[in-house]
Amino acid sequence: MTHKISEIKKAHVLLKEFAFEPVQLERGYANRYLRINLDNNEISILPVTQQMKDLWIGGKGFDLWLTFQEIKDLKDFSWEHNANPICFSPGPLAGTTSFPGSGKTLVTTVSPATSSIMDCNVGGYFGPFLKFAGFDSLVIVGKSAEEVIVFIDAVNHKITIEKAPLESLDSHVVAEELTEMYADNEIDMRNIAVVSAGSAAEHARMGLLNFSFWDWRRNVARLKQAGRGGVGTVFRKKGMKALVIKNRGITPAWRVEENKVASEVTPKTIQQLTCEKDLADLKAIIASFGNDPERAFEILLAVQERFKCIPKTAIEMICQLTGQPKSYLYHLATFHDCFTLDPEKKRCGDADCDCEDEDCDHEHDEDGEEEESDEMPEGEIRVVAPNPIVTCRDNAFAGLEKALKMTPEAVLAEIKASELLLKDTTGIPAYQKWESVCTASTADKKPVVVTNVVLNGINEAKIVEGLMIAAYATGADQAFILLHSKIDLEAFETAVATGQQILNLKVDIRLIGDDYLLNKDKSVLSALKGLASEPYHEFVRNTKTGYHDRPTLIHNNETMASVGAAIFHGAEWFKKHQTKVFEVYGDVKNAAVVELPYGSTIGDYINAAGGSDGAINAIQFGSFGGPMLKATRQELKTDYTTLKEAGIVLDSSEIDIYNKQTPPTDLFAENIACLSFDSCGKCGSCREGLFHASRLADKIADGKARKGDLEAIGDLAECMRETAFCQYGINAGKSIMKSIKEFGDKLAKGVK
Amino acid sequence: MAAIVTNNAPNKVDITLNGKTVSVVKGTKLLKVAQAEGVNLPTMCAYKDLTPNGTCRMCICEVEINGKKEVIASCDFPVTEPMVVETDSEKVKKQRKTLAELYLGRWPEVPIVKAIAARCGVTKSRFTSEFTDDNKKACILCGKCVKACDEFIQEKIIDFAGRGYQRHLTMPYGEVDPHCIGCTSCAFVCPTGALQVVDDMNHPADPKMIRNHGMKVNAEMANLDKSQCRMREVGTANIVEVMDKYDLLPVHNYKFGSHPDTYKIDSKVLKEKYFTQGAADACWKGCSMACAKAVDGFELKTGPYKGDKVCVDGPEYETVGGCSNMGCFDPDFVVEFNFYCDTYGIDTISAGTCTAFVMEAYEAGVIDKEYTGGLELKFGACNEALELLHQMARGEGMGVEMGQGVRWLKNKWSKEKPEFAAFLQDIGMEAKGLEYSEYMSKESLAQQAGYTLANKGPQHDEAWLIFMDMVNNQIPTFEDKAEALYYFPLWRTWFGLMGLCKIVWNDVVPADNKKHAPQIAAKIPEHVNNYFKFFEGMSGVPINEAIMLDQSARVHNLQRILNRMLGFGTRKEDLPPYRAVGPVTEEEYLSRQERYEKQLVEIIGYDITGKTTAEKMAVLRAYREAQYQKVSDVAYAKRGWTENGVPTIARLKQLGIDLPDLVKIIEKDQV
Repeated sequence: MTHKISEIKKAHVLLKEFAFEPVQLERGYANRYLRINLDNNEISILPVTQQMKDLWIGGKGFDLWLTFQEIKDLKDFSWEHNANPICFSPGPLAGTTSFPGSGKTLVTTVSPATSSIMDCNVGGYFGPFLKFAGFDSLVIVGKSAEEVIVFIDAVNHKITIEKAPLESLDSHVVAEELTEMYADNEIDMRNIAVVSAGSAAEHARMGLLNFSFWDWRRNVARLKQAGRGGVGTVFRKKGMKALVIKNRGITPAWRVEENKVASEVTPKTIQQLTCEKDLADLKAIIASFGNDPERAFEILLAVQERFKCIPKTAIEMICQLTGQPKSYLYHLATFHDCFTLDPEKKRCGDADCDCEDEDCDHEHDEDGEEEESDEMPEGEIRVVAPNPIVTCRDNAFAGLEKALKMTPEAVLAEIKASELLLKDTTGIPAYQKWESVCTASTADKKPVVVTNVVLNGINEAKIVEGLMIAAYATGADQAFILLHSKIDLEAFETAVATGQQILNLKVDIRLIGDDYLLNKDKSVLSALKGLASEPYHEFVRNTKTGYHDRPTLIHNNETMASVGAAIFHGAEWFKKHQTKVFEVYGDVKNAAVVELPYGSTIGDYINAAGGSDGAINAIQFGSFGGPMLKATRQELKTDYTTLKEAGIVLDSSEIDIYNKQTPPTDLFAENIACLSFDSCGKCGSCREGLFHASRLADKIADGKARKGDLEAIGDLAECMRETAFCQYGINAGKSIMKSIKEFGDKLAKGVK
Repeated sequence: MAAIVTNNAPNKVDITLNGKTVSVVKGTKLLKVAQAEGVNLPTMCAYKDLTPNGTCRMCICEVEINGKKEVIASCDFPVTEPMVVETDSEKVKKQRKTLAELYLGRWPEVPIVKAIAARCGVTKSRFTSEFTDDNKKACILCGKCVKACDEFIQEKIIDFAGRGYQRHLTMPYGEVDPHCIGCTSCAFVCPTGALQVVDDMNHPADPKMIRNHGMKVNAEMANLDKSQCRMREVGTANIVEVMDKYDLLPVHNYKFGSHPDTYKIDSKVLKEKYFTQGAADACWKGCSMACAKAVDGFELKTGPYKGDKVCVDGPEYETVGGCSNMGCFDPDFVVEFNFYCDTYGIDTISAGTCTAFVMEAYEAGVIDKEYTGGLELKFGACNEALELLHQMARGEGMGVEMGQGVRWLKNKWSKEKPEFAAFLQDIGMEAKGLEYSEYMSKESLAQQAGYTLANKGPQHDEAWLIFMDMVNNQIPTFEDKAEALYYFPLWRTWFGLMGLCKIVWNDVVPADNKKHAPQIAAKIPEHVNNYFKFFEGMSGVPINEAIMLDQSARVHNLQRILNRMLGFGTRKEDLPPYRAVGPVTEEEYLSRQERYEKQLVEIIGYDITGKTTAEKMAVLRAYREAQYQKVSDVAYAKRGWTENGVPTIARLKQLGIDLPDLVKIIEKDQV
């Protein structure tokens, strides 16, 4: 029968209360010990003499010496006598946290098994807490007429002996009952330690004592054993149900030097949730993502939407329920701009919305006024594609059906023969990655396939088809679709459901954040683990050791959507019909997602978007991570070979056209500002380099630059190109250098 | 002369480092290769005992692989193929200079930044801003502390927050996380002093001295545990398969030392199916060994909590050994037995050993099903073993008798069935009244004596010599064993005086511990020194081996004298049952016949031709029992005890504990 904690507590009868003065420990000693006599509930504090320390040091030495003092003059003493002392001593080095393995309590008694001295050493928090309470040893003698608990309260400096009839005897129950009963709150549970035996201890000579410590991650009282020779038997014989200690908390005085950025980011006010409904909502949000630590971003986003900020309570509860460390969650919450920690600066939670208004209903999105110029309104993506492969809406899953009739090896061969290129920065044959994944695949570590949805306007069904073909060919049993916004969620769910009728594959759709950095595979992998999207391993290949150390094939959605066509039409056809997609924005007549034959010129894409609106001043090739190109570059073909020869890096498949209204100096400054804003900050060259490059570019744009400033930007860009941790910084360096090459004369005008 | 080996071993590769050919183990990080070659590359974020951060980029080198040149950060760059490395090419120097300017611009007063900048020829920076921080102790975002929190202590309490230029080190919300355990690892690795935390709860004389030695151990845990004892993965259960392999795992009441089914309950099974992995399972804050493993969500199949899903602490080695001793090789049983022993407050070791004894007595016909109340207590009877525990908790039946222990049962049954008395005496695995812990000691004289000379009874914590004797072969001679029986019980007692855990001392050892002679290596001198410094850091008093031995000897002798006061503590209490020393039954003898006969012939010089098994067993027994007596004699003498195992007054005087109260107790025993 189990009772509620309140009932159990109510049944306690106070038999004795004893107040004591706290002491300061000195070199590992409190210099006094505690003696409790259960015959008469007498509690006394006695000195630890210098001789005791010199001769017996502490721990077992003290236990034995104190035992000797207790029994040396007794006639016909045996273990069964009430006077048989149980001694507990932590030892002078115990309680140290800066040297591992320093928390043992030494327990002695005269043993029911040997009738002689028994000693045990045991972990758990009791011993260190006893010393922190100001006692080098505890001696318990005598026998209580009733079932009692001895409670040492180091917070209020008192010791009580309480009659305790209702607690369970069994340790896994009583340790938790008493931890909960004596803790002020959940966080305080780690400050309670319980010593208890169990229901068999009194019927045996091999009874032991369990020493608890609260495991906050598991939310259970863990038990360590003083096991040998029947110390638990003696404990029960004394009428002891448990020995409880409450420590005053030992959170160390930890500090880090103050600095400006920390004080900018750290919220001035911290929101705590106390209302039961809020807490229930929070719990439901976390549960709706399966308490999955890897979905921390989505959980935080839902929290942001519900509470308009990230309350501290949320971080704590997510940590408790998902097991994701609090520090990682805080990193994530301060990493993405869509989260606000300070309740004074509430945000609506929409990643695309810049408002600071609690009541925001995104009206500015709906009427399309705020973002009129360079981006298309949501849901109205114009697609221009004369011979579409990845943007076409028909023939979905025909390629998958064909692939399933082939062997995986035949599919791999077809992909190899098709010369399908990765439509990301690299432009290398996709087959290289497929092969690498297949080679690394083992029975224990099956591959994972991932598609990262970076481009608009690609057919969701085509993406899912490609993902499934890739999984089939590589033997992957898990697939992920990573979304940067929720807009296409339903379309993907439908496509996945359709695809799963053809191939039974586990496909998870995850929202990972609207983040330019997330074009990069290494950042994607971190995001997939629920971490801030910074790269973790520099030289580890995802295809060998990726998600959970499994071989991981990551393709962006354009590459993935091409796979179906390569299989459906066959390699020979595909080789001649490969396409490349660019989103064309800015000063063009009809902003559009344009899919043209691979190798079309920049001008072809601009024309497909209705041509430029006014004379072109600059072509921003590949969003802000790409270089600014002169108008004459319209004739440049966009195949990877030509781009490479021209020293142009394709950072993202976007072409932005700027007419004379935008001076190149402004564009230059804007690009670097965006790059700096999106840098994860992990490596010094990208973090510090982009910050200062941005400062200097601003000066140029404002006409306040000095001689050498442009060269300094060049030096920083070169440094990033050569030394940045990941592709983000490397590409940024390359693009800035290219922009300077293209527009050096114009930029120099900003230098005085 | 041996043939000249021209080819590199398959796991090695030759590279050219600044013009010099270097042979490198594949996968070694380039920075470590360079350091080993005496090339000192600048770095602010690499720490020898942590995995690379790769954040500062100062350690860049230019490498040429297959004709392609590239600048890479050497700290995380694995050398896997032939390459030409330039650590100070013009290109590298130029980029280092830019980086140094960036860092100097942000943290102009931090000594390590200034030193590295100066080395790169930079004393002035073009890159300053309002964020330029002239604090000498500013955090330089290297990330060592974040790694130390994770890798040294597996806690993950600190991390960076913010993005890009706003990146900063913090605990969530800029507050101290109450879950921080104060291990000080972060402050220890911090290159600037930006992090401050002192372990001051004990108010030690010199907290830094303690920390500096404690962190050595943390670094070893982070780097060596995974290839040594895997305490962080499986706790003490890591030795289950080792003990089985060396014929030391108790099986069927210590008849045998191995069993074909051990693989079902070994650490591989426990790791894969039971123990939660990756948890900071320390039984006290700051323990980087984190061996307090647990099984989460275990659904109980029997007893009053049947159907409950519980967290089970363990199983540790001794619990698994108790189960193999009962012949129970079902891992679910091991976990359930572990759980019920704990929650009922019963010692898994005594319960395991005693149940094994009951099982052998049952199989030998000492007791029968009627006596046990219907329980068929043969070896391997898992359900019956659990039922004994449940009975014990209810205070009824055979369970309560079993709970009285081996000595009590042995005495009772010897009276009831005198024909079994000698047999029960031989197979009842207790000494001084305490059940043996779970090591099969027949082949290790050192462990036999380690067990039975221990003051409290046959528990290995006073002298766990079996591993160094049988597995590591560090105490091969009789003299070595006798010396070990002096030093180790005192050294191990010392942990009990201090409140320390012994396994942190010897379950992970420095990578180069083998450089010492075996007898010295067994002590793990670097670790012993760490502990002496720990003591000095706390007390302010330096200590050495002689002082340590005296500190322990005082308490060790005090315990012996208290035992004497209680009517024990002499030679006759130090005797093992023969099962601990040699084969009691023909079945045992025949199972290891080759080993025993080799000993009879080669060591004892006994002609075995035409001898019956009984005759051979008798000679073996006589020899082994005599050896035990001999080693006891030497151990007593070394300890300063009389032939009867009682401390001499001279020894007490020598130790400064010739207090009248104590002298009075042993006076009559002085010869």
